Amino acid sequence: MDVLLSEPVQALVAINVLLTLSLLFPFVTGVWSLGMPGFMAVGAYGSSWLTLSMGWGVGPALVCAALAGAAVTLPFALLTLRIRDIYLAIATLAAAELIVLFFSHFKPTGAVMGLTGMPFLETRWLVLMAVGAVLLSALLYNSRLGKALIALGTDPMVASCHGLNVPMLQFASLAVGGALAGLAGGCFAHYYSFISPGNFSFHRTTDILMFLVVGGLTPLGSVIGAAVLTLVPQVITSLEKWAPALYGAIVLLMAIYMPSGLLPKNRLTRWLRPGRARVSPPPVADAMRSAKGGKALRAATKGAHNA
Amino acid sequence: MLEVRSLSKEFHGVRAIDDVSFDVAVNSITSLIGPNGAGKTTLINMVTGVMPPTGGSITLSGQPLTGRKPHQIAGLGVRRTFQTVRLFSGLSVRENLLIGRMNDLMARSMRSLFLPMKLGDAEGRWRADEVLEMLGLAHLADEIAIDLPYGTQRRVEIARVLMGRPSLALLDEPAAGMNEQETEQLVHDVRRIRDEGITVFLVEHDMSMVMSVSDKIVVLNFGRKISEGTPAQVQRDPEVIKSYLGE
Amino acid sequence: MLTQQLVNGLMLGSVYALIGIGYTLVFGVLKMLNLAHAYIFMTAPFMTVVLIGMGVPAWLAMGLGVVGAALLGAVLYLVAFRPIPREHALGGFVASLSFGIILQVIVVNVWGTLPVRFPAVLRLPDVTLGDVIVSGVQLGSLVVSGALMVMLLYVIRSTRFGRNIRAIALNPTAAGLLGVAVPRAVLMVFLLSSGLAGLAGLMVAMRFESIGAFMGDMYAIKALAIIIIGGLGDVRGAVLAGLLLGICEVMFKAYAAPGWSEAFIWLFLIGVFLLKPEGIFGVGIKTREI
Repeated sequence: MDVLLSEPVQALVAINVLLTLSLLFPFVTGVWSLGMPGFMAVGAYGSSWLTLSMGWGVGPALVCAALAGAAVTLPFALLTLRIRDIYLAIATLAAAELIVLFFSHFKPTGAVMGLTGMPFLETRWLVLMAVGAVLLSALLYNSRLGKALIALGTDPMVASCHGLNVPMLQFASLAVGGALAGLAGGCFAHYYSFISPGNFSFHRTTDILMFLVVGGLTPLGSVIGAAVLTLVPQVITSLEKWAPALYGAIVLLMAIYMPSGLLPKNRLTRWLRPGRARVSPPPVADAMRSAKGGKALRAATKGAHNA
Repeated sequence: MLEVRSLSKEFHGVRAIDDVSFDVAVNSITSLIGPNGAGKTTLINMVTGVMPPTGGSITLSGQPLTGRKPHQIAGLGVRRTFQTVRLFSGLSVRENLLIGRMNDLMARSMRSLFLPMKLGDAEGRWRADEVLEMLGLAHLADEIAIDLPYGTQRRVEIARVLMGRPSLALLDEPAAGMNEQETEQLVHDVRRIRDEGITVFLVEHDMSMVMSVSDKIVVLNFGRKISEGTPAQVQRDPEVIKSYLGE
Repeated sequence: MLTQQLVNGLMLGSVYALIGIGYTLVFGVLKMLNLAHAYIFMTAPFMTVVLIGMGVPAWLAMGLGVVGAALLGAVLYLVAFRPIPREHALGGFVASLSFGIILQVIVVNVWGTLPVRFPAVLRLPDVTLGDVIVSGVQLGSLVVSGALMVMLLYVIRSTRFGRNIRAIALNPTAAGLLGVAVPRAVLMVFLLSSGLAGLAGLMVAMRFESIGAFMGDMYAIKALAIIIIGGLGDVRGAVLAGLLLGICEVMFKAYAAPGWSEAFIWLFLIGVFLLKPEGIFGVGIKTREI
């Protein structure tokens, strides 16, 4: 138990929670953005530069980190106007790689060697920020605006026809995601006092994706996913070498058997299905919905599509 | 109320809609019929701004609709239903209705945006309950919309349209998949909508329903308008008979 | 010197092309991205090293490495892709990613994170073209991979199997109803593409005489760019895009300021998304409805 509550672990979970939320926000509104490493890097380098070269305090620097993260999402937002779904995911991945590549070659921020010596930020602040972010996200998620964002993600065309300004709301959620990632980046920089481009690789994105798959696509799910997958290898320390493989196996099984994540009543399972085929039901529809026979019938027709 | 002038839509050389013009009178029930593939849903998509036309114009009481985004057109008082019922999954019936209130709230009461749907926006909630009552759906208000039987979902879609007190309601094949009883109920609902002062534009296949409920009918075939007039006139039009029955 | 760079570029391009072909074939038939592909690419040379260590003759060990890669692909299909329905594209993405990571962790735990020496088993003579010396290994690899690519293109275009794959790519249900044994064909696609990945891995291993658990990582994401640029599902496009990008990357590295060679591929990709989202050969991807 001591291991679980140790400060480094708390800090790691806190940062991971922030990152997972940053992936969740745009995703819920239908924006598949994998730009998180880029936003995180901007936040990390930005806040480091402010504290190291400009002598700012950590607090204001972190605020700027979040704002910078949000600002960087603007060019990404332009991408979302043209492309969707998995293609957007790849495009944002590319853009994030570009950002990190930039930092790899940018001499003033140490290029590949990175930056070091940032003033330390205590664990409790990280935990506080993570908890705050989760609470705010949960409140938003259950509010009107939250429902609108979810509706927008499930069916943007219909949402648009009912008066929701889809592009603007998607930009906003992308910006929130960027801010959270930027903030996480700043926290990372000031907790570990060392950052380098290698910290912002695609690996981080894949880790966070796994947290989301395991926990489910809600704010609470983000916490659970991040917490569980970060803590499990700590608990079973003998397995630490095999931890990522364990992640992999868990995620593999979940992707197959529990696509909606660990939380049972997650209604957003449709998220994992970009091809939202809406088939016009025949008049038999009523029977299909209620009877058990209907379930079998639907399962049989779904099976025909399996490769 | 709605003026369509020389409207055209081309997809890679195929003219889905070809130089179509007609008017929809205020507070009337106008129907668009035509064989499958005649371009009916494409037309509705263009009116609601989902698809831009390649030619022509659409005006709503003098306001141009062409070139505007769907949410802007919705803001002008246009609402629609969909050929395959598209309610928001994961949301209850009442929540589905309340989604349309976002724009109003953003302009008037931003505070309500951040409250859960049970609180705030008394006006919206009251209206939602009123509409549900009107359509006899009040007892289902908190049910998850997409879990309901198909016929009921269709009526929830209509409730969603009514909710916004639109000036124009576009219904895309509302009778699809309905039995006789449900269709009669639908006719009743459509008249109800008109009685609320809303102009109804209806796209449909079910001929008897269309004939019994419409004030005016526009007939499309292969993207072109082949007839326009009262049900009686259209029924006798030789062009219409030819396109539906063949020569 | 230019010729030397061209040869290097072709070499890199061939590796990109081979990996890209695998990605695009799987996307074509399943409409899902197989992220484990680059990890199979990485695992094959390790399997070969193990076999050589057990005394198996080099040539045989390499052949078995390719076969091993193919078999891994089959396992991947059965475990990670078959159980997932078509609509769950993200599920396939995540499941294959997990599979790939499991492979990587196994390699890390057995061999560590540092590079491992790959024995220089092929003693091919170097060839002199004008004033350029091309290593025999490079030339041999180019010839073999070139031949394979041509053969593959022929198979897709002109054999029944190729037609089956194309049919499945267009409409799997219809293909099934018309008599194509869809699961079997898809399994073959996995065997084939994973085998190619294994071959690419061996090519790289022989060229640099060293392998590492992380050698596939860069290829994993770059290949995504390649298949988009070439057009999703389009094998010809993957080949051309791969070769093109390989040559460009080497040229940039040789003649341009540092950093551009890596940045180039992402810039190109974003450019393609903005200007010609269907890729070089225009297969068509989803743009927004509103």
